[in-house]
Amino acid sequence: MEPQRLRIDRLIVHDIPKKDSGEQPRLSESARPVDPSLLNTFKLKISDSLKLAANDVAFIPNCESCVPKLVLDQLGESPSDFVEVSQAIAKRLFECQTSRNTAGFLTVVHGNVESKPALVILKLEKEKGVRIEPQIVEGKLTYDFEEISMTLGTNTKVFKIGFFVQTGTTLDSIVGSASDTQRSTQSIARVAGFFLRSFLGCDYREAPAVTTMRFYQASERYINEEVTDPLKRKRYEFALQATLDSQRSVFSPKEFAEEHLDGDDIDYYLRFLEDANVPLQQIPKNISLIEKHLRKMQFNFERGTILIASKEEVNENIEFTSLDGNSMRVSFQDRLDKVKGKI
Amino acid sequence: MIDIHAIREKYREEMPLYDELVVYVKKILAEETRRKGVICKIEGRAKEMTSLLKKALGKKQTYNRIRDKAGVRIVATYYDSLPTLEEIVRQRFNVVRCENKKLGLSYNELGYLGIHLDVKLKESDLSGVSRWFRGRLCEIQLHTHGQNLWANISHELLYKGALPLPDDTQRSIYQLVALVELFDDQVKRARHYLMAQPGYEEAKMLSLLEKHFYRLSTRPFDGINRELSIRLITLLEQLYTAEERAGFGILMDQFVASNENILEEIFEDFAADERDNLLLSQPESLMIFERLEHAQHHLEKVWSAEFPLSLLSPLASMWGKPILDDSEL
Repeated sequence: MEPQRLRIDRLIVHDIPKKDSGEQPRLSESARPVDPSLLNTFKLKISDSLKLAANDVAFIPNCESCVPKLVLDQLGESPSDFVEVSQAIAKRLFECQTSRNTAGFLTVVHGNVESKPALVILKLEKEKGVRIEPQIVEGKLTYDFEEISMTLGTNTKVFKIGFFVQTGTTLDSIVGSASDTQRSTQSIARVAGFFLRSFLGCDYREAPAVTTMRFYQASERYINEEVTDPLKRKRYEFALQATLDSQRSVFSPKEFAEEHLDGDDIDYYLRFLEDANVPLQQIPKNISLIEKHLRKMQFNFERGTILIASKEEVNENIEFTSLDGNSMRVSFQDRLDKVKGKI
Repeated sequence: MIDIHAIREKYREEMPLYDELVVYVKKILAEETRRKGVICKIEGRAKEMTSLLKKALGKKQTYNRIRDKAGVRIVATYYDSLPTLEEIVRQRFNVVRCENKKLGLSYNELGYLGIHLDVKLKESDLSGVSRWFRGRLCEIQLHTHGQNLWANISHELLYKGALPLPDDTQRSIYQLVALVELFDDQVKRARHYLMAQPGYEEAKMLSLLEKHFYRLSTRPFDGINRELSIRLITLLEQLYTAEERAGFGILMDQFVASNENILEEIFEDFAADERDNLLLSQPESLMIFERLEHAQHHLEKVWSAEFPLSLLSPLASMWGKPILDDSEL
């Protein structure tokens, strides 16, 4: 389901305070009509966030959260009152938050994608900012500072979002995608899956370990089948391994391509991944299925020579020189430890 | 004897209905010309009471013999469009009578030009509208801009004058007619010449884009900025191989056909929202969507050399291919 094709028909917002603030959620009692151009803004924000960071999810059978049943209700032919259902969803969010979670606005959006009913649940985090405006005071230029509160600025990314489209009539026929990440992609640990699991009652349709592995395999296939320059192959493989071996808890194939591939290769590489059904948006990283492949790099040469070395050795002590006809010279200096016969 | 009072009473009663008929015929023509990508202006109105009464008296015509109570004029930008427009009218309406004024002139004659068709609505267009429309005539005139200019002036100069004009004045007026014919012919000739020039690819690409754009967009035709079009196309054509440029028409036909629904949705939802979407009111937006689909990174790189990415970003989001911020890398 393509989120950019979402057409919004109604929207409601509830104020969810911090858990330890002593306050209770302030729930809207009606869904006011929204200006069409503002609906467009919402639609693009939702679409961008999902396209950049969301992964396919499915509802967990018999989970504790009431949200799956409420989503099923709103996507059915005779939905209950939208305001009441959204209030129930808001209360569930407040219940399952912890003191670590920030205050925000729980927003529920109802619409359709290609005539199929759709529901979007998102948490917009309140941010404090400072507005700086120039002023002339007593004939001199100065700047005025004003603290402001902002929820959905031009550059705001929505990191907690669930997008559900009903393709049939049951819970299983609901196609979902969701994102549950920290604002910073540098964080070591992902935010505890409270938003995804405890609140939405979902889990990733494909285990992150499998998605990570499929990305790795498709990328290696691209490097070996589509890249002819040997030095470029080495460079790309090195970057691939370094990306997957990094401390980051998420990665994005699109970001990987933009950071490490030559400009002329990027579009083709991304199409190659898409053809292999590898998602291009941010993926929670789990290298458990490929960990041993990341310890060393192996170079297989046409006449049978095989070079196996750690990434550090490849990067620091082994010299690769490109020669004519896509061949290369490899040279390194080291003390011979052992030599033996090999079958 | 023509009963002018009876004609006045009858037309007073029916004039609002003829107004509605004109609106309906214009709507049908607007949809069809957009669908076929023909650039034109459509205007029309019910005949004014005074004009109708004068025609009845002057030509001794009964009420029912006056065929142009409802009149619509289509003014084509290019002379070459006239055959397509005539075909559109013949396909969408029942044509009762057709008169090509040019065919009525011999080689050494000059005069009023244009194609006039008296039409009735087809049965399929009568459901959901007033039954009164059945069998009612509407005159559709097809003109170029030049012919339209002459039609407006000649009416004042030649047909509304109280006295016949002296020969030398008439000669001057007919020189104007000759000029109008020459104007249309030369515009057509110049257009064909320019389109055939090797360096005129951008104009050809624009023409191919316009064909789809006018069908998909609800924007008025005069909102396009042609200088911006050429500038954008010159930039974007770098993103295509020589082979793709040679088959650009087919490439865009296939792209639009494969993505018709989403393009319609985008133009419907965002075209009226002027805030960040000024590119949506240009035909090159189709080229941008096509490149976003097939070569996004290359597009961003080439684009940012000349225009800010913030201009491209809304279209990228609409297409479901948001642009990554540098801060996200």
